[in-house]
Amino acid sequence: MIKFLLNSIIILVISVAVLSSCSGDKKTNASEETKNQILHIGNGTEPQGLDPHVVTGIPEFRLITALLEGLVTEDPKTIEPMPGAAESWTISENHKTYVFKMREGAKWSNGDPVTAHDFVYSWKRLITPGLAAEYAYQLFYLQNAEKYYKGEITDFNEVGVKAIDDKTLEVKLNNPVPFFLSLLYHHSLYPVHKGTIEKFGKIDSRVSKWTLPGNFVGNGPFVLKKWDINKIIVVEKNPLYWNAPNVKLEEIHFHPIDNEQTEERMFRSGQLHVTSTVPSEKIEGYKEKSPELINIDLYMGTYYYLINTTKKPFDDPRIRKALAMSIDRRQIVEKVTKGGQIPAYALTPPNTMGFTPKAAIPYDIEGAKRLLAEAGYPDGKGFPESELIYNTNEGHQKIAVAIQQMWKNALNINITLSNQDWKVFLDNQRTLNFVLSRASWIGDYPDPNTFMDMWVTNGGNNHTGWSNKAYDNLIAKAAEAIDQKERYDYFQQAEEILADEVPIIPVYTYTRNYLIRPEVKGWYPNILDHHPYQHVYLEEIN
Amino acid sequence: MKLSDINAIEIEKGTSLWSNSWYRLKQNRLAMIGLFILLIMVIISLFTPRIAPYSYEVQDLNLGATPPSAEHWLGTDIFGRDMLTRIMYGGRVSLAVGFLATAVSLIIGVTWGSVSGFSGGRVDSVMMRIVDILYALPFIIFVILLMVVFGRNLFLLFMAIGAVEWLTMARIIRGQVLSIREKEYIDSAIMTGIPKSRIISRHILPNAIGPIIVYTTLTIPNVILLESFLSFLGLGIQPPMCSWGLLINYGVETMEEYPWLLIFPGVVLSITLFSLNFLGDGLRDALDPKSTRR
Amino acid sequence: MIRIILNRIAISIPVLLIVITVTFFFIRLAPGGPFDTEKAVPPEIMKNLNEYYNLDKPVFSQYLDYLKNLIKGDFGPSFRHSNRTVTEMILTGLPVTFELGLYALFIALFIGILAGLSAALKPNSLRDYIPMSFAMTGICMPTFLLGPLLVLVFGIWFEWLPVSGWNTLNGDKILPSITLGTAYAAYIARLTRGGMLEIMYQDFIRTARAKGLSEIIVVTRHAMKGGLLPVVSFLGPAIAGLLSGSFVVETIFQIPGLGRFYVQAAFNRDYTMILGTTILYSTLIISFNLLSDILTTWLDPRLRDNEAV
Repeated sequence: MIKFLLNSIIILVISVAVLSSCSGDKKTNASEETKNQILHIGNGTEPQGLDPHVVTGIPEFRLITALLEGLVTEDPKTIEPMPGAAESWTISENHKTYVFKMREGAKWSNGDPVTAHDFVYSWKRLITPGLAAEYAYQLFYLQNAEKYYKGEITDFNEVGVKAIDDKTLEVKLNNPVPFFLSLLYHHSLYPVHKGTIEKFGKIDSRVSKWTLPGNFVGNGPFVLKKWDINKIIVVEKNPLYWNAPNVKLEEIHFHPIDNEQTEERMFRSGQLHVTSTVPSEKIEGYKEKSPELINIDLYMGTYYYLINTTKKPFDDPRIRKALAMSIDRRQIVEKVTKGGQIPAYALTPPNTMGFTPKAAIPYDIEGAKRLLAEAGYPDGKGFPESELIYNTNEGHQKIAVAIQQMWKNALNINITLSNQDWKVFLDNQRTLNFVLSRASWIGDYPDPNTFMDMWVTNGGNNHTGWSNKAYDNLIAKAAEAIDQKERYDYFQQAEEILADEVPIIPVYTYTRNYLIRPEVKGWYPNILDHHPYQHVYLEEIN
Repeated sequence: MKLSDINAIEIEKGTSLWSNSWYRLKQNRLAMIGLFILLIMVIISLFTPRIAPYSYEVQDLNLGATPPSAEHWLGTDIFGRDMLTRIMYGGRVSLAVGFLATAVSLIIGVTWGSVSGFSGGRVDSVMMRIVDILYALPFIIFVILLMVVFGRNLFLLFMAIGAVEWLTMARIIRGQVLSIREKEYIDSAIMTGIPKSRIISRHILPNAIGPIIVYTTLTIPNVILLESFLSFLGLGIQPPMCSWGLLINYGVETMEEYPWLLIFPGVVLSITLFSLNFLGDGLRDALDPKSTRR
Repeated sequence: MIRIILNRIAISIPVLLIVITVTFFFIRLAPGGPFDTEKAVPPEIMKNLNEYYNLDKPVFSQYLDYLKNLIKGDFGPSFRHSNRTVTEMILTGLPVTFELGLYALFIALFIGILAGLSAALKPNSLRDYIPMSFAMTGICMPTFLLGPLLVLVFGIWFEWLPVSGWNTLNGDKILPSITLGTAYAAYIARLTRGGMLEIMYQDFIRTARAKGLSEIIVVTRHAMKGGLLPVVSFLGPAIAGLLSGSFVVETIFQIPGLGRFYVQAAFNRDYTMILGTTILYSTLIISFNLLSDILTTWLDPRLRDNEAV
């Protein structure tokens, strides 16, 4: 018996030794990779794809900016638009016509020159109805683009983008769009290589192999080397990029990690240089013991709760206001989210390109109680039990649990919680099949309009059923105005209306919390969290 | 003659199958400890609303997570809620889910498996093929669908979990029935014309009871673990209610910062599961009529 | 025997068909389609998307199309990863999960059978209690607890083993395999102990001993064949469980296996991927159950002539 057991233990130890030696070879360690200028980034979920006209998420955006370049790029510190694929541009008096001069010597990764025709083709692709691109509406600022998309016109020549010649691109807009240049940094407006697209399919083939390593042709600072699903995506330096001499990184490894605890462990054991997030309970620890490893950057996004204004009794603005007034946002950001977020009493984040809303919903429990009583529910008596939905996520749950209690304590009303998986959640939001819902909005471009124009009557992202003519007018007027002061004036008035009617309850302004090793240089915090890789490099720390 | 009749004839104080079994069970130290612990857990759970020191949902955000102290014997969680209370309420939920879902799976599984095994032939084939089909259905989709269409409520959770667990039970019971069926005393029972249902309930099942009990006790902890797996995916118990599984999920996230949030629910869950398992083993040994050990 | 096997295989095909059908219609019922995103998609775009993937055709005709393609061996493109086919994705994920499952199974069998044997040979003694308690940790601790705990101890504190990955760093297969395997070790230990105990008290064992055979021979040659029967029956569900239950371990350790693909597909309503993996799992489950039954029958000759198998 004993011999038997002993033998077994020996076998076990041997097998463990065998198992451990027959896997992998290199020990990836962040400090070693630093020497070789190989950057390891945690990139959240596995990307949906790499086709700039089809994908919609932030992990995808981060990958695509390595492989492709739009007309503009951004200054890494100020995110001001800078020449990218276009080397200069002129804007007409009325701000409705832009003429771009394409960069001399800019090439695709297969040697072909980057021309104005590439952009015409690419933007045509974005709004080709057959492709069903979800971000097609980004181009609706162009003349006749929407009509082309809806199939009302079929000749793309009528759309407001034209290649005057190989090096000149003319764009005609319906309205002056002050943020148009910044908009061009969005990946949906990036160019794609026509020859590659048509080699593997048609202009509107959604299903195509053109994005696979070996096929992908791009004009960005890096090219696609490897793509193993759920494992790793590797890009390497593109020698044909126009600014290649100034690109210091040799390779970037994007790790698709969906579990934030795992990501943090990987960072700690030296497998990553930058993470995509930090678990909220670990933030304190890092701030205290290793502040040089954590970044807490202001982010242009708002976390808020949607109210379905078509469901009684939430059609009464007094009730909505009471709910908004009885949330202690300070407690939420300090005790629950703990990530340096800023309590939000209005929708647009403070200092969004110089715009800070003056309107504010006060934190006033007594006032909230009074409003509730006025609306017919003194001390919460008779208030119907209502449900708050949120998509499955630890963070959302914690916030919801805290707010649920706050409403109970302050107003004596019962709110139940329901977590739903993402698809169901979106579906319910869209079909107004909810009473209260959690939501958030990250700006698509640096301008308050990205927050403000959501709430117009029947706006595609207006999931509240709320409609206000005065608000619609203000937004429309802002769209026509050129002077920034005038526009911001309209936005201030719009914020006033939001603070009065409260179709949504702002909770906090986002921050981007992530871990980053001191070896990473050229990485500057900005409110859109854009970090163009051509400026990033690694430096050894002693 | 029924067993109880035999007992009634007290010519000599003989022993029945059941009292033999109880005697044997008492010999098994671990099983008795398990039984004892389980009873304590059940009693605490039943009386929790009366004896819990705090509410399980009232928060104190200013307090936050604190280690065990005089006011909070097991500490508080990040919302300032008392852990002792949360663990007690969590026990109520976990044990309820465990027992009820297992009961559901037991009833369905035993019925299905014994009918299938005993009938044999075509009926058996069809019934087992149905089990195979259900086995091969994607569990997560099935549960997501149920949770989504009917809402995430507790009762539904029992049904969903029970509805999945009965499959293994049925397979195993069927295997047992198949073996027992071959024995001669079954043949003689059939020959004497005893109806099938009585044969199954009186002769086959009691002999299969060993495995039934063992697999039941195997199932209860499995169900509790399954519920915690669902919580991992966000499909289980909804806050502010809690179950041990949910508490452990939270605890794992902060195991370095606030270890007590993990240790206490973890230890309580483990002890309960150990108890169930040892008890099950003990019962198996004790109830097996063929076990002439002793 | 052969006839029985062929019979079973023949029945499996309609079973598979039913699985495919039920899954197909089932997942269509779940609210939320594959193209819902947070930024609202204008109705025209939704229309185009639905048209593109044929989601606008009546469900029944989509079903028939799917079957037609299936016969050609085409599982279709993944709805979410539009540049890969389901087949490709399965082929990348399956070998990984399979390998993980295999190692986990070895560990489970090893720990489980050893513990169960030791316990059965001297029940109600320390030789029973100690190995069994050890084996039971697997089912008394959820994997999402055991995994991070092991990672904390061996990966962060001692730094002996990597905290994540599969086939990238030395030794990164050890912790995941142990985490996944211990859960099943408990079942196997218990089944071994139970099965062996039943056998050990049967008459033929007493006979063998009376004949003067050494204990080792009695155990291995005579008892184990019958005693391990419950373990063999359990292998079917065990392997099925290992393959589909690997999701938690794969998430904790960042392993690019099929389990992760599968759950991601479920939450993303990636219809084709869900169907593809379901068909795969079903085929595997049916096959393993069949194998398990065959082995059981072979080991227990009394069941051999029974048509019911």
